[in-house]
Amino acid sequence: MSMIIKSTVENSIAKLVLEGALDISTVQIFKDEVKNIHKVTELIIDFNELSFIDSTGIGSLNQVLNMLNEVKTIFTIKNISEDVYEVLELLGLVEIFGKEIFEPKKH
Amino acid sequence: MLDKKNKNMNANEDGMVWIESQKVFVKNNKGTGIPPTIAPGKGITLKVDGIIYNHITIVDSNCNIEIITNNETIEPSFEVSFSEEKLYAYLEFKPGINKSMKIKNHDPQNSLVINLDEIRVPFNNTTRDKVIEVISKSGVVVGIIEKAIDEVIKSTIEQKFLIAQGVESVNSSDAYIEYFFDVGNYKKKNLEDPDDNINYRDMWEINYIEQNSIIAIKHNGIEGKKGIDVKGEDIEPIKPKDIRIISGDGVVIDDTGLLVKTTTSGIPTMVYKGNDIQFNVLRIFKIKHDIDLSIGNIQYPYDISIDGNVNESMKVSSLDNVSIKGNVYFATVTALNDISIKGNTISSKISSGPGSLSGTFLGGDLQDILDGLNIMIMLIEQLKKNAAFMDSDIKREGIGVLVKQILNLKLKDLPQKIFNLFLDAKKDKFGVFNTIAFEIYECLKVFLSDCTVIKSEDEVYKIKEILVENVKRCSPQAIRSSITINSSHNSELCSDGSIRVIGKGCYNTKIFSKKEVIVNGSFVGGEIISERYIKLSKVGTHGGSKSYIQTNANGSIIAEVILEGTVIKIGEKIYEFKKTERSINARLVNDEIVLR
Repeated sequence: MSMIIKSTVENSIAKLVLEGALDISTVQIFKDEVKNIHKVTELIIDFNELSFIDSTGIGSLNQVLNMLNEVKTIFTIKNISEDVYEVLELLGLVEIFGKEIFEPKKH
Repeated sequence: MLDKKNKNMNANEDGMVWIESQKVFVKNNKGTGIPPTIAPGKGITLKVDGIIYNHITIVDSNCNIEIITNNETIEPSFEVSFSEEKLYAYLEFKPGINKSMKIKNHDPQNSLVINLDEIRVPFNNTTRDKVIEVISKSGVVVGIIEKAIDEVIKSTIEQKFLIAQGVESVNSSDAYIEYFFDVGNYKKKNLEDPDDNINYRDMWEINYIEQNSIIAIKHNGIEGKKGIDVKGEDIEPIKPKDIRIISGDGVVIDDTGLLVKTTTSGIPTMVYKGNDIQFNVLRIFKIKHDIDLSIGNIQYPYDISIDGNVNESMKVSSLDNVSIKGNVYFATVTALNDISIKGNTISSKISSGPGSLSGTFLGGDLQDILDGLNIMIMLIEQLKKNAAFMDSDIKREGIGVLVKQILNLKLKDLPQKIFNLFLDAKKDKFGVFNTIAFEIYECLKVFLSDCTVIKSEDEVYKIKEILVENVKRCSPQAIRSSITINSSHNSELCSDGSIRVIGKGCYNTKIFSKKEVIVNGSFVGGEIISERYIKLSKVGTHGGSKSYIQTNANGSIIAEVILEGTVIKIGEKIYEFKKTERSINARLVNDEIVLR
């Protein structure tokens, strides 16, 4: 599987749009992309086109969100598909970081 | 030609013949003296006056005596022989012999037998071609040793030469079994006592194996390689001996037919049946003889069956049932469940039920861990059904990558619970269950390290199975506990369940039971304290030690005969029998003891 990340920064707000799958083969791209974002106050991660995720993907998402917490960057994950949301919920990310961070896709 | 020689002869008149320096001398007899005679020895031709004599003949000094010796030449000889498998060919060489004869000197005598000295001179006129021809004629075609041929043609002594060597077959390796348990019911404990004291009662421990353990691996035999003999024929290697492994109770053999794995915990055993070996794992620990210092105390987590007696100062302890066919002398027997003794107990302590064993029940702690594991399994199953959840990393690295995330995110306290189990067992919190706690910890500790070693879900399910089984086993609800014995003397019987004495009865025995007590025979001296009804045949003794029977307010005491002096207590009420009473059914009615 592959993943494309579109990154934009506007008014100190960065936006990452993830397309494809966040899995063992793409987690490094995701982590590098987040590391490359500097001097922003907020990060929006858009999962609109993210169709698949595996346990390594979940692990990397947890690492990234923890890192953002540490540097006190506000973050939200938007447009999460129903299935991906269920994975995040089952594995406890929604509980750990708070429901308000994860916005399901609107139908 | 004969020469005469003047020699100092005997004074008698007999004739004489002698040989000196290859020449024959004769002295004629005189008067009535015996004439001299001569005879040829072996290898000699004797001519007297031109006539050949093969026998004795009379001679005189005028005879022309000729001695002709027979010289001989024997040609070198060869003989080829072979080793058993014709792997080696030998050439036995005998050099040629030139035999020449020399006539011995003989002193003067009346009757001379001529003897010779044989002179043997060996020689070797063998050629290389001759040796090769001999070897070829014997059929040797492989591995001829050229150097040996050179040695043969030089040799002048009788000698055996290795003249050709074939190629040896490579031996096969027989199949063998690698065992992962100590063969026999016991293994010696590692006794680390700084004072070098040896506790002979606890020197041995039972050879107990956990479920899902590999107990043996069969290694197949390896075929050998053909050799070739000196005549060019194949030498077949000996075929490797095979061993067949057969699964019995409590074991399974995997698809390869090589791995023997336990399906239950217990004592591994092997039975040889010709070339077959059958493996079993038996839950019940059977001892066919007495329990004494030769085998030490018995502590075992499942059933114990003893055919003999339990002897002085020994302890038998089970987390399940104990069955003893013999007697118990000055010993201690404890079990979580039922104890059955067909013989008598003498000055012994017999206890069944949780109260008999030290330590806390392990079941609760295991249930906590099992709950966590159940959540893990449920999550794995739900995630697998989710269309967005990929198993790309699981396929590559195994289920451990997901387990790791579950523990990191959802079940953070599970590893701590597992570690606490280990710490508590270290502190001996679980008493008799400690061994089980350590064994289970060994299965669970994979969750405390890099979970990526877990490759398949089956491994998680197996750990769950072990937990489920042990939660049941190590919980108070699982306990039945009762004691059944034939009779007892000066003993103490304690049970969380019922106690039955089915033989002649009890003498000076203390009985404590949380359920009913039934003594079919006499109860003489001692005491019974039970929380339910007590049924007895005959209680007390005339003028002997007193008997005391106690039950709670809801209980009753039933007896055929109670002798004078016996004291009973029901609830808080006490009654002493002043005379022998029959057909007793003592109980509380309106807070007073009624006897019938």
